[in-house]
Amino acid sequence: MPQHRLTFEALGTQWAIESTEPLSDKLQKDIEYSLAAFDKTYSRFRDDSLVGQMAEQAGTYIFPDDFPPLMDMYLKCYELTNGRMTPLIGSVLEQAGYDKSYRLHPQKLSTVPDLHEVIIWDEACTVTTSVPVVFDIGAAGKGYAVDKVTVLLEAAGIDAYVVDASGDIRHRDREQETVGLEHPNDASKIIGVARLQNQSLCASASNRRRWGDLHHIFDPHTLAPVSDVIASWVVAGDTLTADAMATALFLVDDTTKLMETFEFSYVRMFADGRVEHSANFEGELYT
Amino acid sequence: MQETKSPNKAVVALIVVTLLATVAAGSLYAYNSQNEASPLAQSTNSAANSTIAGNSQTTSTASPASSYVNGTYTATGNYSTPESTESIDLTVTLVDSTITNVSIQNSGNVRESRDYQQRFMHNCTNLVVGKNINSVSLNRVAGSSLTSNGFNSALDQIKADAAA
Repeated sequence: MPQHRLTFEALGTQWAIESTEPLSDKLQKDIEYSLAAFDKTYSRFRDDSLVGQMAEQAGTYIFPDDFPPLMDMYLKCYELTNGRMTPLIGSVLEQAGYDKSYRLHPQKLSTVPDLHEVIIWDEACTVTTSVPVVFDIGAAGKGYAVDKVTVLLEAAGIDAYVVDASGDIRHRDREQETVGLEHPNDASKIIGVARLQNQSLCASASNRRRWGDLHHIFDPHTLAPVSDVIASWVVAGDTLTADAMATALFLVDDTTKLMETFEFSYVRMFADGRVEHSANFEGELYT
Repeated sequence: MQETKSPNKAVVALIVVTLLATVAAGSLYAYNSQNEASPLAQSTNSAANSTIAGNSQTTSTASPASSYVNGTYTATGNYSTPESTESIDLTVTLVDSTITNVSIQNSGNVRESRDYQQRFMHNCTNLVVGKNINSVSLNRVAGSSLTSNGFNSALDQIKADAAA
């Protein structure tokens, strides 16, 4: 569908916005500003961000208006994964070497505190911490940022587009897309395809953000990277949900509770080559 | 909707789950009339066995001594709910009397049935084979996020350090 394609780097990865109509200069600026503001608030990879300050000292922090849906998603996922999906995983990732200077040299890992013991959220934009915390929204933040970009597109009258933030995809068009599901062990192959229309698809895998024998999806209970699930793909009505579920699928065995709570379909692949899919998954798997 | 009296939904739900469990275990349930209270459950359960028993029995009793013809077998199990008639297709691949693949396709006609079938089905797994990207017509590919330049150069630096 797309005649126009805009590419740029933001939030630590590659973005592409494809659309039938060109994006005006003003719209491009608005998108750039919005993503920069998102980064300035939520990036744990910079000292001057709001979460950067939270890592320095305990206190009360006021987030922007976009915070409540994100925090709400994290709290639900925290419950549904028995505490395994937590924004406090940031400290473990830092100690493992995935920090703002990309040290990539692991140190001793320390236990992740109970979310409710160190953070009080007023269900709006205010968070009060009792200790310094490394707040990491890596499991859902990029998907949420995609949703924010699509709000800007639609407000500007762009009604046919694909926003692809390198695996976090939002599609809106009359025509369906066929999205290949990249084989996590061989990027020249796909393990299947998903059919996507007016929905979001998020992919997560342990193959790229990898250093030494570590990667970026840690289980706070074992303080080790998740090793049995190696990739997941989720299709949902919005990108925040799809992104959050793509991570949650690494952290639960039984997906029933997730599927009862959120509307989504999924595929996930295990280290032994098995692939599991939800019955409502629309697409094809090469098994 | 027909005007026949609808059985209790919870009972039906139980039957659906029981039916699915029957298919899942791939075993032929010996029907125990003493433990079953509901006559509806009896008839539904029996019907399920009669339509799916062939494959189920193969699943549970195949032994190296038996010989089954290699191939892919499909069976359809039907059952009734108050709202609709539902079916589940079960496909089993046999190689040297061993099941190498099982897949289940649901076709729930009403949402409730789809939900029950789904809860049963989403644990179904198969081994991935994969295809070359170029052999399939695609709009795009989704995998893990590409990493930033910062991450990549740090990784390169570490590799260089390790090699030095």
